[in-house]
Amino acid sequence: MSRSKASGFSDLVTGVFMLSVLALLGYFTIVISGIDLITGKEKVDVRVVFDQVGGLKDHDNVMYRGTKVGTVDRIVLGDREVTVIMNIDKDVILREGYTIRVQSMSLLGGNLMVLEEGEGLVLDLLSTDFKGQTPTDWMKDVQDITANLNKITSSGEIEATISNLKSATEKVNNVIAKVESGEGTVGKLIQDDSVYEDLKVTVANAREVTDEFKGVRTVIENVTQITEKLKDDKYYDELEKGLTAFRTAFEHLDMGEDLKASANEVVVKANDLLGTLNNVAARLEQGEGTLGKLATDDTMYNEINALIRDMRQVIDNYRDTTPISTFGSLATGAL
Amino acid sequence: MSIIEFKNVSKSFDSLVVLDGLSFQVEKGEILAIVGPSGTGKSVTLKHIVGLLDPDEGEVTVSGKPRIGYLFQSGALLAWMTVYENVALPLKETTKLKDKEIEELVMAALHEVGLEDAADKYPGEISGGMQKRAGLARAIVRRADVVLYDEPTSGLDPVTTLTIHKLIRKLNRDHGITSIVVTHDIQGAIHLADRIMLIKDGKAVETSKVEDFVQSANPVVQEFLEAMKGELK
Amino acid sequence: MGFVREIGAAGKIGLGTVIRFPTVFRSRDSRAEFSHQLYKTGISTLPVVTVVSLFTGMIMALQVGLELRRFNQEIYLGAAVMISLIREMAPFSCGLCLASCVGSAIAAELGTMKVNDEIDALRIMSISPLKFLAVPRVLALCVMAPLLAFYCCVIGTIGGGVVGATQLGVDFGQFMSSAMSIAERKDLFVGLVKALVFGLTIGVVAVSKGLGTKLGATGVGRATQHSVIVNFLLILMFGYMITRLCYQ
Repeated sequence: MSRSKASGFSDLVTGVFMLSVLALLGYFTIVISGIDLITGKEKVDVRVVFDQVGGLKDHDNVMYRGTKVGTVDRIVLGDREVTVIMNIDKDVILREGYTIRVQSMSLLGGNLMVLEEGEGLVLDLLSTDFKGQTPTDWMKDVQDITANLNKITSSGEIEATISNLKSATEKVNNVIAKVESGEGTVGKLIQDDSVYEDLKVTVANAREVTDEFKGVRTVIENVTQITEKLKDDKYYDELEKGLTAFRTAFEHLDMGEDLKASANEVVVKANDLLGTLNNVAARLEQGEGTLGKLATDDTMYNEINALIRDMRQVIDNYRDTTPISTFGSLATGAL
Repeated sequence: MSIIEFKNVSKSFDSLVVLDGLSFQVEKGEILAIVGPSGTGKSVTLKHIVGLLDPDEGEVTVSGKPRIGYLFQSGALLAWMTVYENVALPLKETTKLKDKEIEELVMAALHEVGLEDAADKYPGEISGGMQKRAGLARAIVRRADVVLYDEPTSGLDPVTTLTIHKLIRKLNRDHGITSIVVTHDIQGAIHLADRIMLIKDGKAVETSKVEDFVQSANPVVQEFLEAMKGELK
Repeated sequence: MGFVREIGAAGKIGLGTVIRFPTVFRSRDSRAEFSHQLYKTGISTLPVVTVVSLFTGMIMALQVGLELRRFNQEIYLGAAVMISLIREMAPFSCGLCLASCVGSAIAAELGTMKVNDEIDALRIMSISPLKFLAVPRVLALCVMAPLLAFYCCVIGTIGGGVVGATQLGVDFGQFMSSAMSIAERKDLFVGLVKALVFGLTIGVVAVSKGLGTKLGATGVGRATQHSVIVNFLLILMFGYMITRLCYQ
């Protein structure tokens, strides 16, 4: 029976063929299911929520540190957002401060998902709902900027803002300049320590006049407050921050030369102001001028306090005794 | 007692009328020869008996649910099977017999037709006469009660024809197999059959015992006998 | 009318064959016949299928590659070849091979059996020709068609990779990685289902054309020819329909 021998052989060949194709089919199915048998890397599904995905499609590549770590598995349209489920290597690390964005691959189209690691604590890939950045739509951004600039310039808003700012800065600058040059009361207090010397004498002399003492005390308290404020970094820092932001904003806006010049002027002046304030504060701290001395030297304050205490006593005594004896005891008690 | 009965059976293929009110009976255990010119519906008659064809009109009755074997003109052996496998096929496919029992039955059938030695040969490797005998073995292997022979000797030499005729007789005698033999060989029919039926234009012109058939005064029978004699000369 | 009747007969044969599929495993003989048909369907056609799919992949790689090169996008060659092979060309070319090699053979074989009364002989022996002849052939086609389609895909991709490496300067490894990155489970599944449908169609059409053979040897020739033509048309139409159904 030659037929059965032949059929045994043909069965063998058929079996070998079918098994090999099935094995290949199995391997292929596993590979396209996302399990990498060659590198043995395990993959996980990670969810990223986007406002919009800019044309990202299923099976687009996911890049991390410049290498492909997986693909977009599927994209689910939500109520107001789009959830992208990407199938990536388990080894990928995302930390707080990560960024996930969609990037276009070439002029012909095609997109990539780009993951950047971040620097904070490591986030769990499976349990975190990652937030993706809305892809940059350059055309739309340029349109928005142009439209806003048009609105601002045509309504004259920006000119008004700049001129207001300019005059405000000028005023502050003038005040500070006057303070520096010693004009006005505060200016003198800062510039000149003769007032301090005078005050000392005055305090000594003032034991005779109660009202004068009261006035000086108020001045001293006010000056202390001002000095404290000037010494506090917070105010200085806030002002500086505001200016920096303002400058950055203007540097990025492409506006007319006139506007730019005005804006720059404001910034320069505001900078000067800051510098001056800084100088004043520094000088006060070093104890220059009357205010500086008052602020740094508490003996005067204590003396004045003692004076007031004595004055009270004197006044009380004065009511009972003769004026001359009163003046005599006052003079001896103070000296 | 009739085992097969045709009552006014008519059959047409498209516009061609093949059987036109055919009526006859087949008695149990007899050999009936159906003769007639080619294309008069002899094979169609046989196909009605086994249900391969259904009559347009009339009735075909087969009583007592006999096992029917059928020997086709070509033998109709499956080319990719050996003679043994061909004969064993109806047993394997339609019974639950064990291989051993099947082998016994097949070898017995092959012995009946004298083909034990050709059991492992393929149909293409044996002669036409042997193919018909193998076909006959397959027809009788299920212990058929009735065997229908469709031109069993056409295309065979006289010696082989005689062998087949002897075989049909032997099966009829030894196993009481009712036989219906369709043939255009009137001489063979006369030698072989108990009764002869002549069909012409889809009708039974004459149905009678062989001796009566030969003596028949029916002009159609006479014409047919004359034509066949002329052919033989 | 005749056309509608023919479709009805083919449908009956198709249904009758499919519901008898389990019978193929019932006896040792039918299992042996089935495995013989698997061999005839799968292995005998392998040389033709290999050459056809190899050249299909090569032609596609060349055509697509030349276009991609204009945009410096040759890296996508593997993806382009793979996606068209796995979805469309592999089942399609495999279907055409099977229709012309196996379908025609089935139609001719059953047609010859029909004109030799062998079909009638089976019926008289109470053997269903559908169970005995159609089931192992059609089932073998249904099993082998998806396997061959996948084989076509593999060979075609390799052919494409070779063309890419030798004529378009695309690294073979890069070609393969591009091919693998684009392939999707759905594509594979649709491709295999398509091939299965083609296999079933080829089998049913060939069997019904074969069993419907009339008028001797001329009839056999005509049945064979018709089975090939009808199968080609149906492969194209069903291919489109399945694609339409699965990729909207």
